[in-house]
Amino acid sequence: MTLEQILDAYRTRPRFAPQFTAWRTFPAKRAQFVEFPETMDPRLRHALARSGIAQLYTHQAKAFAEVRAGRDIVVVTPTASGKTLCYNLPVLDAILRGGGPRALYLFPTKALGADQVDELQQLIRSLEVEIGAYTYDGDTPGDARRTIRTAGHIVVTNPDMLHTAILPHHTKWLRLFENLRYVVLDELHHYRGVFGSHLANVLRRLDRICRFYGSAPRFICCSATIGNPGEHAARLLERPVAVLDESGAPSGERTVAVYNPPVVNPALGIRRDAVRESVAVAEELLKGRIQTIFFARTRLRAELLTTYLRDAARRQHVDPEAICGYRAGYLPSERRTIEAGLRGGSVRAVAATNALELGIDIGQLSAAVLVGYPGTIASTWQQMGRAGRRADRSFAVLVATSGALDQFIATHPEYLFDQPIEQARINPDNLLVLASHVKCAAFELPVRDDETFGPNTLPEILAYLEEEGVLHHEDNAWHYVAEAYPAEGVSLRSASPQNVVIIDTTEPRPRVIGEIDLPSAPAFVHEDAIYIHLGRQYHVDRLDWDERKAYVRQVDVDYYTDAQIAVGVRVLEEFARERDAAHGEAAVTFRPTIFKKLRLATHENVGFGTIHLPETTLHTTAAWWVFPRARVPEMGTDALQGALLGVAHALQNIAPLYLMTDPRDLGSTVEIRSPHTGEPTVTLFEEIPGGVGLAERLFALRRELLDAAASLVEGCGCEHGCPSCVGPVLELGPEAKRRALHLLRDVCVPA
Amino acid sequence: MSAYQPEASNVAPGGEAIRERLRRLGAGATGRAPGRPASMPRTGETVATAAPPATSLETGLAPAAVGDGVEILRAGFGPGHRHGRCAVGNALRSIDHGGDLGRTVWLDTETTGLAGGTGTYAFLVGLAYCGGGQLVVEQLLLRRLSGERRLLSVLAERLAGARHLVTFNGQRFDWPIIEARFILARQRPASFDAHTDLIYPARRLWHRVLGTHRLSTLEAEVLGAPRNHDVPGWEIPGIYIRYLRDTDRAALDPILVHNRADLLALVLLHGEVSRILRAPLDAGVALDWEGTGVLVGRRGAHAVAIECFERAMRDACEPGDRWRVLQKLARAHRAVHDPDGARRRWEAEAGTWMRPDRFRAHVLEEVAKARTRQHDIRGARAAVTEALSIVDELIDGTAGLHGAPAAGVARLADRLRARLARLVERDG
Repeated sequence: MTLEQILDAYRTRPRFAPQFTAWRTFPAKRAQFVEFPETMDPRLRHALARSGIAQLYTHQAKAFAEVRAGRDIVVVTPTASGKTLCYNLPVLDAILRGGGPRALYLFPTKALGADQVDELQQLIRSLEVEIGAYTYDGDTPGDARRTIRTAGHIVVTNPDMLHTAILPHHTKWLRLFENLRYVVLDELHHYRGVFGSHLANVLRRLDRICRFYGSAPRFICCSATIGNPGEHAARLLERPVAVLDESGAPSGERTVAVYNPPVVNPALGIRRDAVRESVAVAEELLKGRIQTIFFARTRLRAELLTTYLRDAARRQHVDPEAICGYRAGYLPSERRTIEAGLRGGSVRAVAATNALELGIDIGQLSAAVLVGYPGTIASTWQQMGRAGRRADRSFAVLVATSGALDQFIATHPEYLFDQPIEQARINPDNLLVLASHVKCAAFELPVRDDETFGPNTLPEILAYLEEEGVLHHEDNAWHYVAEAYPAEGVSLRSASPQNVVIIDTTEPRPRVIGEIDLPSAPAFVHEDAIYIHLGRQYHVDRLDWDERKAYVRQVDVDYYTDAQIAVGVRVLEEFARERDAAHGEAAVTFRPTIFKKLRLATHENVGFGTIHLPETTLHTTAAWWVFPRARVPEMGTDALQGALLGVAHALQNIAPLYLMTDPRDLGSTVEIRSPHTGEPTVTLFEEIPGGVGLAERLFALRRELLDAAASLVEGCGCEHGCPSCVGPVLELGPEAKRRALHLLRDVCVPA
Repeated sequence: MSAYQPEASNVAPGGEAIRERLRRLGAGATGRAPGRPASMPRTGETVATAAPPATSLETGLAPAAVGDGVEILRAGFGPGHRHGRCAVGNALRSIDHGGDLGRTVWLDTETTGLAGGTGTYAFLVGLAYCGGGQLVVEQLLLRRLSGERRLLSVLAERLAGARHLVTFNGQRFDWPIIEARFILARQRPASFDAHTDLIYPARRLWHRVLGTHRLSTLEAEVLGAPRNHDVPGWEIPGIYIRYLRDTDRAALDPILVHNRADLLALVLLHGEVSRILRAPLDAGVALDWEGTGVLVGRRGAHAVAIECFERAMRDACEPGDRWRVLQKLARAHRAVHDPDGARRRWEAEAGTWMRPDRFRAHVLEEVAKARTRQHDIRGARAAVTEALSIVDELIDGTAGLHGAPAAGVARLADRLRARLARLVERDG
């Protein structure tokens, strides 16, 4: 069956047709070409012509012209629109002109950097000119590093290497910094939240070092579609950036749909499981040999999907080995094999987490199935963009889960199509982030009294660091005098650079099968957890917390595990308050308590156990809403507790609609009597130490969020509450829905 | 949705509030823990070291008097000055065979950190050179960080006429830091014709014998001059950083003493290394003969190297060690165009009793190659056959072999089979 026939079947067969709540077709778009710019070096023109490029897309030519005119730019065009030429052309052209200019390319991950350097080197080879383009990352051997430092025209690396290896040794990179003319920042949308906040500071440091050597590089940025590319780039670079967002690349006709699984229990608001339902939808695609990518929100779901898809493949006489999983925790070699299999066609379907969302080259697929709303409109379009061919038709569908946000999208699909895409947010002035980079900056060059570095808090941070014995003030400058190498202690990706290593002891010779970040470890690899990797189940025999090692053994059981973590919050400082809402700094404690064993497929509870792990504390920022006791005298403690949990559930689920953030970047907790406010309180906190500005934004939206949560609850089709609005009725009680709505509508008045 | 503007409340609370928040968030954890007090004698007490006190030449005593932030100290050592078993004059004679003694500078620095990088200051640069018939040790001490430019100018002057730099671990540590300091001060770093880093010959000559090649151990064991009451190297950055705050100049004396002792040990060790490499067989000190053989072989003295490796064979018991040395021995024989010497050596090794392990199989492979070159095809076949039987035995019982060794054995088995096939063909 062709994709057209399959799509027709979806629209006509009663099993599927009623479940589609949206079905939109976007027409094919023709390419818009222009001639090569007159000013472009003829050697470059010939090399392009030899590789089959006779003209440029309009956006490529525009980028060339803007960069030539000395402007900083950000190019925002879809996947596979020939974005890399937007930076390779002006950079190579400048190198060909002579004068020895150099360029620094930054990619968020090593894998992406390696991908790009291959493509770049192909273009250079066809130029037949000696241009050194090298990857400089953790895998670069020692003797090659010296060559790269002195001879690399183009150095391809990642922000982490710039931060820990290049800037702190800038004197060895004298040639690069003296001649640095261009900095390329690809995948700009990736630099948001804590990573973006760090990167902005790394760029502040880069700017200092360039000024020391007398260079002033221009920035060429590329980004997937986000709501505020210009503003985001300007915030990262701290100067205005020209936005180029009109793509001249062609695209085939695409159909985008939203699918809501059928209701199986109207009273409880339970719909058919999204993973199972996605597999049912996908079976048609498998049958038609349509290469398809599946996106799941969690690792667990990606693994379950792989398992179910393989079963479906067997039914359709497709080789189950042509179905793969892809997520964080797989070894790099496993990932490279899968990527190659996708490009080559030997992999027919892949079940991925957002680990595959970035610009990793897997070719163009015909269909994308999103199992659950990815959390933001921007990443929804990015994931759907994985299906899309230049000439042929493609199909992307979002299959809603029972989650609140998913149900909101499934019942209000216009939100997805008409609402502006979220804005990327960073907070380069997060005190913790800023202070750690001031330390690194002082290590690189003494900080002069008259210097600026970010906000006006610099003098206070410097004074603090002197108190801590890190800096020494002398002769109008602050000198680094601590012994430790500061960049080592600062991870750009998170506050906890550590991972727990997962070791399989099934065979006599133990082997490492993957890693998990430390904050996630208590939930996934506590003792007696079932950890799923590459579709196989492993029982966690032992978690050595101090050594960061989890010992697992392969098992075959019919359940999975779900950990419960008790969360406590203590407000340390209130930054601002408006009547019943406030935001500030808080210490959040996490105490793992028990885990539940849930049967596969039915999710019924078949047992539980205790988790013995230490409590951990997170210093972060939070926003909270107060529901004064006196305004709800009729509610008993249990009733109030249930209602507060319902409010928290709704707020936490609706908040990501307003912030470009992963739902997991926010946590929530409720208190019947908060020690800080003295009243019933619902708190949303940032999962990132020190926060990146989400809490402040929550506070700014305090009224809007309450209203949105109320309409979410009100609009939900369930009778007494369900996971799509206030949470499961069995846990909260039958009145919780009505009471939560009362709290949201009438009790809290956040000015 | 409005564009995000950071609200004033999050950015600029009062100064004290910011420091309080930083404390709560636990920023600045890389700062030094309060250093432990220096537990070494201060000035005035007897310091058991070979180095005589240096005289402060260009500064007064009070810190205030150090106008430009640099203090220069100088000390002289006559040819008869002894440090353990060695005398300065003898050491300089051993070194001076190229005639550039007058253009040689020995250098050792003390720094504010041990990890390197542009935030590491070289606060004390110690130099040694020959002048006025004696060895002059000159120390440039940074009394204030702001005096660095001046210190570097003085250093550049001192290094201007030098051609040959000698250090201990200076290629990786001291000199890159000095180069970085010059670049940061926008000055051109000095350049040399040669930089001898004694850590490399020292490691070859002594690491396996002493279990380490730290300068202090070499000083005690090789020069016979153990150091007492020396300030441990890892304490030095902390002492200096404390000095920057309390400006108690006397606290730096132990570091100056330490640095002078390091420089003297550097010069005398240089003398010892030069003496040993010129005539290793009569050196009269405990040496790692394998490493010594490698070093003299590199200088072209292959006959001496062969004797060094033979001595190494006398000390080597482990099959793996013997195999490693034998390969070097065979190379040295080839270097003096004596393939027969190599063959005899392999035959002799195969003739002695050896455990039937992979090293014996390697030796037999070499024997087979040597016999083939001698057209002794039968003999070569016998050696390959024995080697194969050992290897097959090993592969059958691979319980003890994993990873690289297992792969090595598999490759060896492939090679042996191919060789056997060729031999059978030639044998007819």
